[in-house]
Amino acid sequence: MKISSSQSNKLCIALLLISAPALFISVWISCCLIFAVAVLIVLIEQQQKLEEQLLQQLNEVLREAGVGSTGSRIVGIDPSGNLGEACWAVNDLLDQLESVFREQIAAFNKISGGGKFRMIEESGLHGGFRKSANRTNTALHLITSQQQKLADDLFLGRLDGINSSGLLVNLENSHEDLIDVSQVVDSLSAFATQSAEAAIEGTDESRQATEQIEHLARQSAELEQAVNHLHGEGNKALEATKQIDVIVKKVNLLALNAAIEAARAGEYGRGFAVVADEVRKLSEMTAVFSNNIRNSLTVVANDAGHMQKAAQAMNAATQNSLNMTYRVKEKLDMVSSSASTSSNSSHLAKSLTVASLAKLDSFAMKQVAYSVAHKQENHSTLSSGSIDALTAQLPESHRGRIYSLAETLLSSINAAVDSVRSGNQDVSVFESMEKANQNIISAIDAAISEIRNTTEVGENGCARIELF
Amino acid sequence: MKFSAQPTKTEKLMRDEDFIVSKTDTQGRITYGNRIFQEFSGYSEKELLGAPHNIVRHPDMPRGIFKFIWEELGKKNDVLAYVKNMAADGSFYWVFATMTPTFDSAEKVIGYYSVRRAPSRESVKTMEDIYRRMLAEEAKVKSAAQPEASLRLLKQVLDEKGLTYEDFILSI
Repeated sequence: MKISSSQSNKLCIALLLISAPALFISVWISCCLIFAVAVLIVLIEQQQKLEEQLLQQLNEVLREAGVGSTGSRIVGIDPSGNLGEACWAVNDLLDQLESVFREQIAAFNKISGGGKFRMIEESGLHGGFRKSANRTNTALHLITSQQQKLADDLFLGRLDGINSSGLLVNLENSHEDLIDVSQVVDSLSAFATQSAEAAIEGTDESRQATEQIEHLARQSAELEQAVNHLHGEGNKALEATKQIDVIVKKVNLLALNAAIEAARAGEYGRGFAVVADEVRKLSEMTAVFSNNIRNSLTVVANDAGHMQKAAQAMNAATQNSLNMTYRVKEKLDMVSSSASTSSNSSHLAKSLTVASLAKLDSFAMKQVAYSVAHKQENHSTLSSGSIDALTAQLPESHRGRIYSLAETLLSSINAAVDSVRSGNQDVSVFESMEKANQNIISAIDAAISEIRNTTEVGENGCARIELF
Repeated sequence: MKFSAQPTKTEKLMRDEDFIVSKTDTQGRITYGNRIFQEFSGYSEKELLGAPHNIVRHPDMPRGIFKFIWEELGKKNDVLAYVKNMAADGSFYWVFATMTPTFDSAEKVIGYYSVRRAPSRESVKTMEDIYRRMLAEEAKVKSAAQPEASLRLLKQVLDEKGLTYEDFILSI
């Protein structure tokens, strides 16, 4: 403004020097008019420049908005005229539009990124923008409820996966348990059969032994008879020897007579004839007796032979029956050892069955948590009763561990139930529960394996029976 | 020119339809402020353009909150916050602010965009209490350690509630 005023002053001075003073006032008025016009022109130019600038910005901003870019604004609007008002209106429109866009993008990003649901803030938005935000929020609600359902399904699906793979392992384990129990029961039944066979064989052997003993009795009777016979024959021989005594006396007498007759040598012949006759008779008697003695001795010899045979037979029979008796004893020993093995097997079978029940109980207990996740009623109670019953039968070294594992399992089931009830979709608590279940199953298996090792059944037991 | 005003006890209340919008460059200098912003801040458009955004910062706000906001924006995240702002005349106004980074076509941050709406009175009451406690923590330590100190308290408050910052803000 200073520049234009000095210019006009110079103009005035030039005019004053040239023109007459009369013209001064009119010239002064002219000067003022020119000055005013100049100022007006400058102002209009400035205003035009500003408006031009605003229009240019407005044009640019609207062009960008037309291609979907809502980020630019018109700035430097002061002082506001009608155009300024229009510019602010455009800015307000873009503010609303950009805010709705940004919040929609943020909300959808949140959902697609798996984050928590965030609504578009409706306050501060006007008219159609507010309605649009409201509709978007309705859609977001729908999407999130669907998403929640999907997440629920996914969670339950994952739980089902964990549960079914857990159950599969459990079933395999139970299957193995049942095979174990049935094997032990099989071996028990094999023991029973073999014991029965051994008992039958034992009876058989025993009957044979009785026969042998009866045979021995008969042999013994025969021997007795032979002895009696021998005794009789011996007596006969004794009698025979008495006759020999008589013969000897008579021979002695004969010899005396012969001696007398020999002294009377005169009377020849007659006396000798008598002696000779007597000697003949004597000799005949001797012959008879000696025959008798021979016969008796033959009989005695025969009898002795019989006796020897009878004694031999008796000896064999005795040996036989002795062997038989040993065998019977062995059989009976076997039956008794089978019986004790069977008793051990029964104990093992019982332990296995109780262990299997305890495992099934732990499987059933963890189903409580899965049922709660599926929002189903489950009336199973969490109790480690069967596990307690089992532990009472286990070696003492295992009890403490199994008790504490049972407690861990119970608390992990409770943790899973609590987690699900409080609305968490935390798969890890279920994995912990399966782990706790696996741990107690392994501990039960280890304890059972120890019982089995100390029981000595199965193949070894069977082999021992077959040997016999 | 910043903090030239002394805070007064006069409060300006935002109406439901009020919608403050402002933009800054990456340095936090204002590149745009709408008329509602001008109305509540008491600054003209001319005064606002090029000024740092903390031109409206109120001394009752803990420094930790702004540290948190800038960290989140630095991670290209949106941030929600209840903020007590100070106008040119020293009066104050509470806002519920949504701050988002602005990206260019190469996904590079070229500035920030902030919308402020009318907060509910209950939310303001809750945050006022938390900010007061955060400020008390800041008062205990040297200037450089203040943001950390008040953020520790905020984290403690959130941990007690078992909520993330955003969940907590959306819950009140």
